Amino acid sequence: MEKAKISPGQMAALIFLFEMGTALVVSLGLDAEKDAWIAILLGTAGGLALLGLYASLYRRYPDLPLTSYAIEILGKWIGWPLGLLYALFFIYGAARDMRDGADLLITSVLDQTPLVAIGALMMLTIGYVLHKGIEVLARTAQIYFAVMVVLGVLSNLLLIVSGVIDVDRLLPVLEKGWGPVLDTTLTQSFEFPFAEMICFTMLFPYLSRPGKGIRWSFVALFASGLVLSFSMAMNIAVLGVDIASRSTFPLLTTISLVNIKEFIQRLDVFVVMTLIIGDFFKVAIFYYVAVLGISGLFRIGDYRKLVYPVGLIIYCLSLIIAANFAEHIEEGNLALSSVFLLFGVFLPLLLWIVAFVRQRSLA
Amino acid sequence: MKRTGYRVGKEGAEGKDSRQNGRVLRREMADTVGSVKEALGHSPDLIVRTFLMRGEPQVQVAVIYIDGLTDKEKVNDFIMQSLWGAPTETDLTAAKADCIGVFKEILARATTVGGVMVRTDWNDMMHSLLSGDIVILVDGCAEAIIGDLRGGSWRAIAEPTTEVTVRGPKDSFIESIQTNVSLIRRRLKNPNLWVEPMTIGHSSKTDIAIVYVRGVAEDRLVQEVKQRLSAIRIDAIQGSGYIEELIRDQTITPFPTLYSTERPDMAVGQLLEGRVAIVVDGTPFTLSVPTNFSQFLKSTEDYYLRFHFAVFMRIVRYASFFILLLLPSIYIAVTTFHHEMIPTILVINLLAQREGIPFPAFFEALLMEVSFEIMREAGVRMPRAVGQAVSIVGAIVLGSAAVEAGVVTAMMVIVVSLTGIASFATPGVQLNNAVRVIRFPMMILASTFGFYGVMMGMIFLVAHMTSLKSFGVPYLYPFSPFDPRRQEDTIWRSSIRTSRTRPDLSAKQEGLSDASEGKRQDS
Amino acid sequence: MLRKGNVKIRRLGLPGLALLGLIFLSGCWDYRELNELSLAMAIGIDKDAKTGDYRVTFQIVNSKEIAGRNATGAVAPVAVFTESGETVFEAVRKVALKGSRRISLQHLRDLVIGERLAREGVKELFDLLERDHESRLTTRVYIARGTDAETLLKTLTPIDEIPANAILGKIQLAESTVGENYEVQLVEAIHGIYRKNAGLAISGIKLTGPETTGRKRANLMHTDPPAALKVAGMAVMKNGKLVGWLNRNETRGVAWINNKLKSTIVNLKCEPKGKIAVETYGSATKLKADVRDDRPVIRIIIKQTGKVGEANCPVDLTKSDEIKKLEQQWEAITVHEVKQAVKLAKRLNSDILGFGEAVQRDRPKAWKAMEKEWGELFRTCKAEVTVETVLLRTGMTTKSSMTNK
Repeated sequence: MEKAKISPGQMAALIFLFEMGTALVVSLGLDAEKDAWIAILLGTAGGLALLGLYASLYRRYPDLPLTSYAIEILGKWIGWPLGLLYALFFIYGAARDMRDGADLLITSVLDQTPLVAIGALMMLTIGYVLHKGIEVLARTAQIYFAVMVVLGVLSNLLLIVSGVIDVDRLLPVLEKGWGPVLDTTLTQSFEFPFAEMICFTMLFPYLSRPGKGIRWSFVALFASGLVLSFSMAMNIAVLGVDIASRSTFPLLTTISLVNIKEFIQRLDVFVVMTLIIGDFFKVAIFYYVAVLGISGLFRIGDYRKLVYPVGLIIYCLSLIIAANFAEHIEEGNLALSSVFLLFGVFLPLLLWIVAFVRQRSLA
Repeated sequence: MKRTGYRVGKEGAEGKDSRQNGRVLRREMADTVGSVKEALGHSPDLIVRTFLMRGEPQVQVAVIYIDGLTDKEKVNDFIMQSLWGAPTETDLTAAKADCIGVFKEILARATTVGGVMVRTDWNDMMHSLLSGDIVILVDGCAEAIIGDLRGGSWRAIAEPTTEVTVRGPKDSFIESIQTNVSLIRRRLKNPNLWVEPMTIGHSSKTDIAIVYVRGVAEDRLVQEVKQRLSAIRIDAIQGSGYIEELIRDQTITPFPTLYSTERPDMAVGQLLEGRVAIVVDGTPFTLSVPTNFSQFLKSTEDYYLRFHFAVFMRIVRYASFFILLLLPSIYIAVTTFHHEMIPTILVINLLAQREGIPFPAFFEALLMEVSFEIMREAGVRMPRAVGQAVSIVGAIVLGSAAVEAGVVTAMMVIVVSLTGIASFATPGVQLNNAVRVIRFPMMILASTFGFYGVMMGMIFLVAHMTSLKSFGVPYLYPFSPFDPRRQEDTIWRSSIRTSRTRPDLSAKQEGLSDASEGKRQDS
Repeated sequence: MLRKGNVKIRRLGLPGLALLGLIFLSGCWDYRELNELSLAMAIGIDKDAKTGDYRVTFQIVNSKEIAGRNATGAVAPVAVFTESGETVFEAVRKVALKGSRRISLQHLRDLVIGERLAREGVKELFDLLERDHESRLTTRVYIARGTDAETLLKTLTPIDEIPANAILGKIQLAESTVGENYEVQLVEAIHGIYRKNAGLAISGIKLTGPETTGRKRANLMHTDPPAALKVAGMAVMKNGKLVGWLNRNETRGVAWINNKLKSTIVNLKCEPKGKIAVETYGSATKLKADVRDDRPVIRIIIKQTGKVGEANCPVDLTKSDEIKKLEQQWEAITVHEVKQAVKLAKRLNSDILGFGEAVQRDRPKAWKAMEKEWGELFRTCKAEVTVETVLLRTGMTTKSSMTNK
């Protein structure tokens, strides 16, 4: 742990950008077709419950990150390897999101630029920021939160002015009943991006004001759920569910329909900017908590020593993680319903139960 | 003008000095006078006037000063004449006519000047002499009387040259520290305005004044400033830029983390916000710390105009900041990566312009931006008359001729000129310089990765800026860390009527006090 | 201090060096100068009758002629290249070889489909345009009526020197003044074509005059160019195939039902003789679906406002009674035209009116049963039309000059 403090506002900005991440631009929850937005809302509810679990663990160990209190709860022999697994999971998460972002960039704008170069630029920038510390990341998040809000408001205004929104495309609601919606929620929109919030169990100890910080975290998570749901509803209202679900990048397709007097058109760059900002912070947070976990587990005093080595691992992993985009997505869906569920939900739940039982037995 | 940066401890160096020369003030006046002459290498600007005072017994007195640093007329009027005429024989007889008596008499009656001190230390005396004071030596005394007659010629207080306002006061700091401090004090008639002197520079012995409003500036900050200043080990200070470089927090950054101004009203405004000003002798630029990013996009003019208009001007300035930073790179990114964004008619137009242009857009931009920088440098350093010629030639060559010849596109000329104009529209010269440099790497990023490169560059830049601190205050405060209560004087300037808090972190959070009443009047 | 600085420099050194290397070792990946590109303004797709290959035509703008300061006037403002290939993509790539530059689809405005290809089916065409990141979904789609897209795109147009812009301008003008046609964007076309049993109406463009003259700049030397492009009704598609045409006077009802009508002129009769022209300038249509006796009933609710544009008869427009009468007459005409459009659509058996979607929206349960047979059920739809009209203004004069006679 470094000596740093994150204010509630900064934590909220980090959470918001983390949740936006790649989730905002990809076809999230579209297995539920027109009701994708409901699936995302349900996912948000699940995410809030999950955050409650994390917060309760945090209240029990307000000064420790997840990898440290795992040792406290489960003892050295189980807790330490578990912590290591978490660190590896964070590295994997960072690599996945990096690949996500880079692949989407290639698909949408930079089709000739090699993955290697896109990843390298991203990695170097993140490495630099993390080297400066979590405070710098949090403050940068605050600025880019504002940028994101401006981009969002502007894009929506332009969509409205262009008159391409047709709310009728969202109707009928729940055409096929709750079945597909719940199914999508459980397999997709809950894990991604909400179960990934597990990263923040590593960051909560930095909160300058724990009570307010946690409250703001809830607000930020809820707000990001609403935004995700709204933007997916917008995608469907603009594109119709068939095009939206075929698109790898529905938000980009949506924004490309903006056309005001043949002058303001093709604002793809807005979405690309959103993607870059979101992906940057998502990878940065995964990356940082991985570094933090490792430095804690191996008792390395200055986490900065690990920034570039771990960065290199993430970078290489992101390149070899999948041979092509399809494989990457396939693997992602598999990982969502297994790895992310395990690390995001079941293990923290286990920790919580053990902690609870041990406290009872002590009392 | 090179800084000879040898780092020997202050005391060590001086100790060595005095031992080496072995010079001290002696009872025999002639010896002392000889030592002074010798120490200064019999320099012709050293004036030594020895004479016998009237009275019985006659006492030998020497008046020493340096020509040009001391006000000659005053020396004649107030020192020479009184030394000659004032004491009567009886007084001197009464004074027992020994050295001490004469000395006291001179002190008590003869020197009709304001500041008089007695020095017994050789180094102190020499310092005073070289600062422009006069030294009076009396035979038989190992002490020297120092009279403050610093004078000589200074540049008159003129209009500020770098920070011009339309409605504000028209005075600016000059090279004299006394005048500069007085300009500040004249605007702030508050006993809490404290001035702490300091001398920096082993050779130059430059006078420095740490100025702050006690009770408004945090003690911790004042201590920190003093500590950083006293830690400076350097041979000579040629201007406030030296100090700036020696006491700032981070070393590797193009961004200025100290604010320098030549406007007394700006300096006073800063003091009232709880900052500490550092006035350096010999330079018309006063430093103030801590500072932050938004400070550099403010002008004192903002406070003299209606706040609605001030807000508008600030928005214009922020916009020109971003234009300067990003316009060339965005232009490159859009025309070489994201053609789809350009309206169709415009893209056809641009395409027609580009036909037959030999350079790729990136090199075209680079060429033009570099030529602009060359022209600007030439214009700044040239004598004014030649400077105009430079700008005319530049306008013709870079403007129409280049386009006519089909070497660059007209659009590129527009982009570059807009960037150039934007660089003049931001008031903080130092920030400007930083951004002027940064736009080149941004252009490279844009030409390699398009908007992705620009975005990454911006994230890098913002992260770098958030990591900067100026005397402990985050550089991007109050944008990040975001402080809603401190937004009154950033992009938005709220009306002076309604603003009740001090606008800066370094100030204590309090309502209006005497000091900020003062601000209402002055700035 | 210097030493401290050095450490920082060294720490920054490695990533900095990597970044520099990254930038300078880069190829020019996606860096594309504008003058390395050919801007395609329109794409035409036909089917080769013999081989069955796709023939792709690009209309490429000759920017110097359009915007350059030294336009000669001797060169055609656009170059049109055609090439065929087994897939559209192959043909697209081969076309570029006819010119000397890479073709950019980023500013593609028009997609013209030849009638023959349209009759055979266009489902295969759209994948490329949806998949390619350069092309845009706002591209407008047209059918070349009675000819192939190639011929159409080779015709030069007066005033608007880029024919692609001229086509777009004509359609937009028709949409905003007479309401007889409306532009169909690629995104809407994709909707209509891939939705099962749905129909789609696409504006048609036809060529009048000799096609060989149209290709030469000489065509523009006339005050009335012999070869010209004209808007010609709308093509009715079903399941991606062209099944028939609606003529000028039949298309307005379709525009009305699809809520595409922006402005139009309706001529009303006047007692005892003469005409009053009413300009509609606001029209909103809603479709409500119901199911009665297993039969879909669609209520078409139109609200429109307008003003009097011309009154060639002695009518006192200051009286609200007169206005009311006019409104009623206007309503009746609208209802008639809308019903006519429904009848036509039923005859061609293509749901170009969005009835299916209305049923799905309002009666999702019933839709489940109907979905599969919608192709047949559409004919049984009952349409109820309600029109509300408000005549807001009467223009700069009140009474017509004829009232005095």
